[in-house]
Amino acid sequence: MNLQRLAIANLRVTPLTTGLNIGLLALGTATIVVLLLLSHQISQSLSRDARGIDLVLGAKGSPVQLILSTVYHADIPTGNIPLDEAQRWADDRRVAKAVPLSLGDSARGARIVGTTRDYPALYDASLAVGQWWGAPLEAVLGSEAARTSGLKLGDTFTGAHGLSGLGDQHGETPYTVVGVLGETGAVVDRLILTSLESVWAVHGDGHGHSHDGEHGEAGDDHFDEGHDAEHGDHEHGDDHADEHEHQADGHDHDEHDEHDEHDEHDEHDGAGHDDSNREITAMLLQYASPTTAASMPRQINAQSNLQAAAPAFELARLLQLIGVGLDGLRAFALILIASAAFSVFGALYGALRSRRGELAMMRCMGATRADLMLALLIEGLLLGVAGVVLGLLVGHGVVELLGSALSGQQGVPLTGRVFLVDELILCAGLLLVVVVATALPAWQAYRTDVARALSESA
Amino acid sequence: MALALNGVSYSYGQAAIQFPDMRVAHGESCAVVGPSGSGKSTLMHLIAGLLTPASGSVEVDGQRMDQLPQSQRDRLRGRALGIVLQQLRLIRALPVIDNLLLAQRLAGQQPDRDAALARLEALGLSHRVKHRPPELSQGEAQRVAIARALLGQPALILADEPTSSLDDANAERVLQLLIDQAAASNAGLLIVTHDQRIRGQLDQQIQLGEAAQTPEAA
Repeated sequence: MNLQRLAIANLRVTPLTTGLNIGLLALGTATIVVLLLLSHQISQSLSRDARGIDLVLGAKGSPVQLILSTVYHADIPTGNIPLDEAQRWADDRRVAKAVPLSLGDSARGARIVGTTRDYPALYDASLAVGQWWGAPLEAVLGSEAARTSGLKLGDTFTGAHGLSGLGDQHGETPYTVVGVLGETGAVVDRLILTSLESVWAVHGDGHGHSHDGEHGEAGDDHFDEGHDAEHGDHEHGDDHADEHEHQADGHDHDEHDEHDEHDEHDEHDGAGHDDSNREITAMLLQYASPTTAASMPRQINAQSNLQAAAPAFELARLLQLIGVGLDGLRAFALILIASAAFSVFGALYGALRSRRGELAMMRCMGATRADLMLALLIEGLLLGVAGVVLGLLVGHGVVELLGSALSGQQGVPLTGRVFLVDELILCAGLLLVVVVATALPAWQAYRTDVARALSESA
Repeated sequence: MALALNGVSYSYGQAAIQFPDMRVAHGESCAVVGPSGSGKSTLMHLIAGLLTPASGSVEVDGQRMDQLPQSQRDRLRGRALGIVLQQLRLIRALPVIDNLLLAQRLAGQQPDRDAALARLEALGLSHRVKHRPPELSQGEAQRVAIARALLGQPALILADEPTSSLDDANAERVLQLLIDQAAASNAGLLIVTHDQRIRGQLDQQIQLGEAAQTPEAA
């Protein structure tokens, strides 16, 4: 028998009050834990997806939309841009690396991205099985895309026009799966990668007509994704002439290493295109030096018909927008915790009053003042620990459930199975709040006038 | 000597009470009787070290209670005194057995479950070991309180109005229980009461009364 057991027994004889206090504390804790986990994982995931991309060149429009569509593959693209114009900037000596992207189609819920091997390299993605794409219409699946589509090595599939999978099928030009990437945790997991030439082949050679015309014939097929953008994506002429492959990878023409040359010859062999009208959706740029950030975007936006948007900047804006909502929730959680603290205070104060006689009797049995104070403090701390632990469990459980409910659908992989340093600070802070709420009743217990308390009846 | 009071007085602001000297040896019993307001509770609290006398000395089990600092008074009280109050003040949240074990723990002793169970059995409470105080009858609760007071082998059992709220039969039984248990533990027994029924049943009797209430300034 000790003071802890006494405290537990005292908490157990008033299950309603105890449950209320633990519940309130748990609710506040869980809310903050969910907020912490979500904001941490969202911003971490968003930053990881934008890693290595300093600037995105795309069609004029909303910069946030450009970043969302080309970096996070979450929105519809702003439109297409001429490859040669983008390439001019990619060849700029201030640019270390340039990755072209051509978007607009999807297959089984995954977006098809025409690009170069520099793109998966941004995310350190490597092949789990198979090989990289070579000839046109060879595709490499991201790990998540492979899982959700059910496609395996050697399977063929057709891309659908539009990003929802509801557009018309490019039935005549099926892709073949030649490789599957290992998991990276980044956006590339959810994509189907292929060469730029594949996308051009599907939309140019395959159809033999421009998408403007197609849209006129089958307008209803283009619902859901925003018509303007669909127009922009697919206005490929059918008379693409051969394009020199070097334009696609952003290196100086003289500086090819062997493997680049090999790949591009493969691509080159498969599809013949015309340089002049080639379009891409965006060009991702990596600066050679960070100081370029000051000059280049402004220069591009002023001197060309292209839009230049910096992911870091747009990301910060986006997180700020999300942050406003999170702040509201945080304030709500703090109110919950404050009410929990008041509730704990009220409960212990009530307990103190109703147990005055018992506390005095404990003094008669040899308890010191400190023993009485400790008894109340332990009681408050038990409430606090129970509430905080329950809140942590609930918070992590909620995020884990959210993660599994949203898995594969949203860009952010969520898990409740991580523990943040911030949570430790949160727990310490919450317990401190509880101790403060307990301190006054405990002090009153310490100061109990035993002689008087014993003379009181009841 | 379980208890020795010499020239003890206590002052409440202006008024003061002078207490008669008293001595209670181990195994000896003593009744302090007097009407309400004669200072009986104050005497109890002085002996227990909850109040400090204005003058004189309070010796419990050979130690000067009135001269000890607070924490050592707590320790002496827990070790040497077994206190039974009219309001029993059992811990409502704890089962009977834990009430006893907590008392041992608070008295600074190693909780001894077997001793506690034996004590309960001796008082006919074996069937109530795991019940909580609100489930007990008044008589059972009274016996638990006595068991709790005796468990630490105190030098002096201090009982405040242990019989006042009881009918004759129960009062007699509780009184006998206190006398028997004190004798069995060779403890001194001091009963403070206004209950006239106790008169003549203990070794000594000390009367508090108007005579004790001297309105001298302290």
